[in-house]
Amino acid sequence: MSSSAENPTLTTEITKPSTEIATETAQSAKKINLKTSDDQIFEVEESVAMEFATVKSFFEDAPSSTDTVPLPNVPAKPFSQVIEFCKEQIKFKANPDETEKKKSNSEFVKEKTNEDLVEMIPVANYLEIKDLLDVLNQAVADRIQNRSVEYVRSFFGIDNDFTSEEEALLREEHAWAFEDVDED
Amino acid sequence: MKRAQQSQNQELTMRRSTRLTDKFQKLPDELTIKIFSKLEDDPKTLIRCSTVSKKWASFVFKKTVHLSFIFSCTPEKNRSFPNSKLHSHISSSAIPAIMNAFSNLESIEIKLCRCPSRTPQPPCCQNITKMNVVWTGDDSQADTCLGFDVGLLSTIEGTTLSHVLSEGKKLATLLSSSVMDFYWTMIDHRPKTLRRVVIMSAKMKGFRSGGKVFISYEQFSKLRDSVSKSRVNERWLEDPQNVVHWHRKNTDREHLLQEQVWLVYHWQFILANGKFTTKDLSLKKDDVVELLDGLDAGAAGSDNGTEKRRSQYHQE
Repeated sequence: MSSSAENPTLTTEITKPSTEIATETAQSAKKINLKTSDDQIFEVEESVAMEFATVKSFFEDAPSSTDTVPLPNVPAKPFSQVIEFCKEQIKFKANPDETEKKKSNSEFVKEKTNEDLVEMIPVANYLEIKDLLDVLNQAVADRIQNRSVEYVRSFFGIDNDFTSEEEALLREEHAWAFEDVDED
Repeated sequence: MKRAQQSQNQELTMRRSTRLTDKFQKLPDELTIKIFSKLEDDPKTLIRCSTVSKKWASFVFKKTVHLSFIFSCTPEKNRSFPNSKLHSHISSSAIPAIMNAFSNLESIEIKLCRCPSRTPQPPCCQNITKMNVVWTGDDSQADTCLGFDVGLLSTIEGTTLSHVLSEGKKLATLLSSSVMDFYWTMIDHRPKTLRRVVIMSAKMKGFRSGGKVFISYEQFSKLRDSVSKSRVNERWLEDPQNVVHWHRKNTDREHLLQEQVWLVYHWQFILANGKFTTKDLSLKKDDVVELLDGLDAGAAGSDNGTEKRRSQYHQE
């Protein structure tokens, strides 16, 4: 699973067989088709899909509408990881255990690359999965904690628009904040 | 299946090409700001984020409304103390720059660590403080709890405690403390939006493990009644008439007079219409318990402390 960043197709392959297994065990489990911005169709169990507030309200607004919900702001790769997270979360709904939930959340972010995390944030936001958004924001905050400015820039893919004089001035003003920073 | 394979290949090609031009999709601004809100107990990282770009600088400095941090004031030129992730050594001259930069701050929570000292400190210098400042316009009210370590219970058996503090001395100690230092800097440099500041001493974990007796100045003279036959008189110590709070050491059933005695005060500093007055307040057990709880949460580098502060803030 940790190789998902190198091969984005891998996670979609994992997603599909697992829903098939679920079909065999629980015939009645309703499936919902979700179409990503890059035209991939994910067949997701209803209980998982209802974790996405955006999808939930789609059905509440129009209960008897189409069987495929378009998600125009959601690319397949981060979406498959979001599904992975929600499947885990559902387990804790029936059986609330804060310690286990925390452990599962930290396992989830641990194996994700920086890129995975940053890509999932807009998806979690669009689908209104509050818990996931919180977990992701915290994970990103933890990863840039005590790291250099250059590291943070490359983490978010941001270009420096300060002149070297401006930047030097800022660094001088808060010199303490630039000392004893972790190596990149 | 074949179609799925095709679209997967397509996606792979697309991903590869986007990766070459732009490492990844940039986060929308409102989502970046949410990440910064997770860093409000880490101003060191926040300030470094402000030098990432001009846009980030304005987000960090204009959108941050709460900061909480642990630090110790170090002498100006002394850079020899290593910083840890959540605990910085900041010279007090850096504080105005922080206040000026975060121009929309509404609340700050500061945990002050004692600067490591190479010379042993006399007992009466060890003190713990919690100051809660609330502003209404330019006027402010600061509730201050201050505790001095005045020695062990065993030392009071024969003679009186050697470090009896006069009223004047207690005020002088408070005024020269780093907490007060911070209070003055805050008053001079605070952004106008600032409404609430909590400044308190931070101690390393384990501070609570030893037994401690907290008493008020009025109770001080009666303290010898708490000791009989080289043993602590438990019933006397448990009576709130005699002692504000007895923090028992769980493991010590013998009570061989190793309890530290802390003299505690509770004041209010009122700054109204440019005039400064002080008022004595009565001290309750809860005030001391709060002071002790704060010390635990603020243990330097403690992850629990961070989480606790985070959740506290989000409940507000």
